[in-house]
Amino acid sequence: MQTTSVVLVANGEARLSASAQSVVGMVRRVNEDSYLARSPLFVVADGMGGHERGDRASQAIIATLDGLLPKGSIPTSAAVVEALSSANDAVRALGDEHGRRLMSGSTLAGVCLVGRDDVTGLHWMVFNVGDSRIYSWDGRSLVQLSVDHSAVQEMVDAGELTNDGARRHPNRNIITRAVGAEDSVEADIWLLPADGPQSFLICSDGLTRDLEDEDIARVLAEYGVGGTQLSVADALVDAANIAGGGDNITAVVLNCEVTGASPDDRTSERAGASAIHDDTRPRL
Amino acid sequence: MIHYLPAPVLAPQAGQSDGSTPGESWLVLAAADTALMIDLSAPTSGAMADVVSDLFAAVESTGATRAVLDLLTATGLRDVPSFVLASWGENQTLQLLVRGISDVVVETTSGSENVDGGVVSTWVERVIPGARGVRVGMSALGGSTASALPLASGAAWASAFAMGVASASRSLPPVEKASPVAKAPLIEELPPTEAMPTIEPAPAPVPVPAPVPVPAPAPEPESSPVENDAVSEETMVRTLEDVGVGGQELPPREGDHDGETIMSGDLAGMRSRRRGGDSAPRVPRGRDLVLVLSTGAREPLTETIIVGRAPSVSKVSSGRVPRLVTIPGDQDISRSHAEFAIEGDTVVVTDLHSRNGTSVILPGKAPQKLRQGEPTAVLVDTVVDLGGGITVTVAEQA
Repeated sequence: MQTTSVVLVANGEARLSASAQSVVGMVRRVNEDSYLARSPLFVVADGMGGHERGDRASQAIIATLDGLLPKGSIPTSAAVVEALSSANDAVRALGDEHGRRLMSGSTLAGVCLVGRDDVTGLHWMVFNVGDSRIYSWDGRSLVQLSVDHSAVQEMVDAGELTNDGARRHPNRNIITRAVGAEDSVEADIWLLPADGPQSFLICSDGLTRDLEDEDIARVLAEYGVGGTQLSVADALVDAANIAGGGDNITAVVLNCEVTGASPDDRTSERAGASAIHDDTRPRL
Repeated sequence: MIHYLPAPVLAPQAGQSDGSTPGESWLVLAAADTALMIDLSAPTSGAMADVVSDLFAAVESTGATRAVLDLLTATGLRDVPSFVLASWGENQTLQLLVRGISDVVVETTSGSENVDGGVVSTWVERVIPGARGVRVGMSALGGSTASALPLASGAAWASAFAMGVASASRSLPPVEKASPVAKAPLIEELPPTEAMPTIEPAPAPVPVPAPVPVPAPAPEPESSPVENDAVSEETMVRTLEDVGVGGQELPPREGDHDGETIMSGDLAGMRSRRRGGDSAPRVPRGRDLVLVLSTGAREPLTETIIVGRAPSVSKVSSGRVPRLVTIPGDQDISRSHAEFAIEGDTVVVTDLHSRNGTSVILPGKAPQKLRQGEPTAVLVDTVVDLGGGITVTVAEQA
């Protein structure tokens, strides 16, 4: 699936094109992943719970976000936080045919264009719950923006496991946060200035368990983010499926270009902005 | 462990302090890594015992600095008494807040340094790496601690105190026989005693070694054999504690009650019983604040605001997403330049390691350059200069 849209804002415009693909993979019988890829919201949800509960959880999330963050209009970051909370409520409210509550949950990873007033205030809001991922791609290098909420990530952080070991660890399927797991959901949030050309990959862990970051970067580079014939999302998902397809595989590739902001701001320090801020969180 | 010079009186007497050196109405409170010395000469709203136990709970809490500031600024900045708050963090880093006192000397590995809180209208905050000790009100005595008494954890009327990092404090000789030991009226539940009441610090949380987590079998009573392999691969949610990574568990408390020793948890319990369990976080009341930018923009200060040329935020929790205010085009302004936040009833400005710095101009004062990364409390009507002719004024909403 490929979409292209243009969002007009005061003093400028945001031109967004996306491709998306989701497959069940070689092992699973049901695809519990869901996605939404349309302006200004691009998300992937990887449901869990078994017995087709997981797909209901991820679908409930997508339906809630789709309803609360309408196509083509740019919300505030507060509205997105509110929508994430509503998506959590929607999963909590899921019941079976007898009205019993289902114990299900889902990851959620995505980006949404947010802002107010005019093009200078436009930001990409990056949000993550669980082990689906958001990467940025600048045509050469792939940078993982999100940090998994998973048991193996905690072990990697604690120095008990390498990234490579995490991929093969028996507990790689245990996530430590999920939408619908608690009465309220706590997402990790990043806000990045939306300026000039930028690209993002949003994917479920089915893509990253069978493909190394270098493999993903190679596919992205070969097809280009604006690929026209076979979409780049198709190519990524195919590659992971061939490499094993051990889980449902979903990829959304977003290519965007914001124009109209002051050219003074297109400085080369963009990549370092978030890293600098990491060091400058107030102490209190 | 701190050492303090007991004040010659057991109760506060108003008007004894000249404002720049601790007088006879000063209380010192000590917990594991934190000490607070505070002027209690002003009339307090509640019973002194309540005031002291509230202060002690704040000093003893994790995040003591924040808790103490919330308490002291609860009724507005103008009512904040003179105080010194010293708190040790990792790597011998001393966080020091000083208001209304001049005689504060920090000893560092590279010499001693005076921190003068007597000349500012709010308070001075310093973060001093490699600090070995801090002395408050000792200069008048030539810095001598010869008649100082040890205080591990608790509260006492004092005219001066000295606190070191663990190694430094050991070199200070505790005095065996001293003139009247302060009877600190910590809380009324304590039986009268001639001995200084001591508060045992809560046992330090011991990290539980991370066991190899075993995924609990998913409750799948209807699962067919065909599905079993897939089930074991199902994604599952576990809390960090369940997984045994990074989780911490308090060891069971030792039963060591002798009627005079109380655990910190008991103190909190007593306090919450007395206060009807009121532990709600304080929120700013009454005043609506607004940031007035020299560009003409007005930004209601209802949540944390980051101002910059192209501000960004990295990995915050969804409950604390700041609002970003972009001032485009001016290369003198850094991408994320300064943060404005409300803490308690106070506005706090932090320079986010901007290239050209941030100055604050308090009403009627000369401009003061903020230290990078250090939150600084400011009054309403303070002008914050970001450089490049851009200023942000903290104002009350008209």
